[in-house]
Amino acid sequence: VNPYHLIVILAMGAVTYATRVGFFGLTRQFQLHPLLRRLLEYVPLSILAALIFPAVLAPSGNLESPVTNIYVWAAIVTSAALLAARRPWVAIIVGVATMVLLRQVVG
Amino acid sequence: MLAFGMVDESYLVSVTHFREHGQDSGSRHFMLASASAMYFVWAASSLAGAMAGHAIADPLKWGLDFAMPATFLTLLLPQMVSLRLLVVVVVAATAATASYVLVPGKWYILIAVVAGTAAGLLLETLAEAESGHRRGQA
Repeated sequence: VNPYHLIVILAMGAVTYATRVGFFGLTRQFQLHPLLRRLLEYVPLSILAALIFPAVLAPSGNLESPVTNIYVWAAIVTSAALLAARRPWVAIIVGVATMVLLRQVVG
Repeated sequence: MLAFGMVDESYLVSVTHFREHGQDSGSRHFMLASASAMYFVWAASSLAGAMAGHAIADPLKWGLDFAMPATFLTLLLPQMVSLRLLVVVVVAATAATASYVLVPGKWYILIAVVAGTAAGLLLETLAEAESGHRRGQA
């Protein structure tokens, strides 16, 4: 293994670890402001929404009509599959399979 | 140590588990298990991808680009357990999509977080004001 690559990989690991453990260390030492604590509760959901909706509604970088956007239809099928099967992995497979089918038919 | 394994997926699987089975049902073990499962599958898939990736000429044809939104979608839906969280998601989604289209770069994630958390806090404050001077916290 190239030593430079090894160093880069280890450094990346250290930085990633520091961002995660550093926060826990800080909050253990100092009491988190209650307002900040409340705000943090909504961060995970907001990030998830930010990761999903732009990718589905504007896959090309521009807003597309939801009627002709196959990502929207695949997302609807995925959600329906999750409600029906109650198992995330089933819903993911159904969703990706739907995407493949839609590409065959439409694109 | 456990913090290292805090990736999106293991976090959400753990949080859902805690809500359904109570905080104390072996939380450390569950987190460790979900994180290490994530870690080894991740490493194995990366290896497989690096070795066999060239075999897949067109990932789009396989619908693989939809795998990530689909995964996050199945993680997001079970989290929306109250009207307030639903509103947070709608606000964050709207802000994210609008800024994704209008602002170049990855700013849309930050903008969505600001909008989503602000909406959540606002709703929380309103609900508290409405229920009078009920002491304590949620």
